[in-house]
Amino acid sequence: MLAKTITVYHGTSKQDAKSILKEGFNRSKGDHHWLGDGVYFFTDKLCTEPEQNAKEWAIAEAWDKKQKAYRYDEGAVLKVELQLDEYFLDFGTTDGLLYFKALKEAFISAFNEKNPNKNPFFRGEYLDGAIINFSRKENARIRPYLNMIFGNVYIKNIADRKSALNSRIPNSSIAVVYDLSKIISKSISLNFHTH
Amino acid sequence: MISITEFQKLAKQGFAEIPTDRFNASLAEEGFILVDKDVESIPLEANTTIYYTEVTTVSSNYPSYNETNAQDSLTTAA
Repeated sequence: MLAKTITVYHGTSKQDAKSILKEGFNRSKGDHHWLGDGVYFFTDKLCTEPEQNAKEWAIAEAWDKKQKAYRYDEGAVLKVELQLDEYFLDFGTTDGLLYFKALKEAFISAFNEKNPNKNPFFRGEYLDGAIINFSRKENARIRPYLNMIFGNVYIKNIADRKSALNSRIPNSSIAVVYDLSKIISKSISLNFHTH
Repeated sequence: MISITEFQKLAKQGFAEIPTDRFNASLAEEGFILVDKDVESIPLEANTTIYYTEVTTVSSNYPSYNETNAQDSLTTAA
């Protein structure tokens, strides 16, 4: 039986896109990455134009807010075929949210059992990525179910960033891949100027 | 996909199997600080932004609000 594949998109600078074609993807690090340390792609689960989402992301990322200048002039979108894992979580579904709730409760319960006299204080911005990172690193029983996660998020485009506008209502869907062997092909689908 | 109940059971088992030292060391790598439950203040780093500092400082300069000094506070404010 052929494994099911899905098409996803990754926006970046043209230079980095070429590097990814040669060397492969690197995982994004840090809890400010919504769902932990993985490679992030746009999918068509919520938005019908994931390639456009990826382009807008690359343009927004090109803008350096502090320097008020563009980091790169040319952007690119990579079109990627992913092998859909047997197990994945989709936070765009009720079940997906319940799985995450179960994971978070098990995490907090374990913390309380191991540290009955302590409280955890989190120094990061968002807990979600930290819990996923921790679970993937340390929990061998749950790791097989955390190779790929889908979620709906709000992502600022360049106009929102420049105007410091924010929102909580999702405008795009992302796929986060932790097991890079699931990336089966990649090619550049768009080249463009960032400004 | 396994059931949510089974998923939670596996998650609990997996977390329970991690030695406490390793559990806590890995927590620290992910940005957690463990704070004694009987300690009310959190050991923030010097460069951590505390948005309520100014409010706390200002309010500490005023008498506590109670029936006895309420009028004084109001008079001072006026």
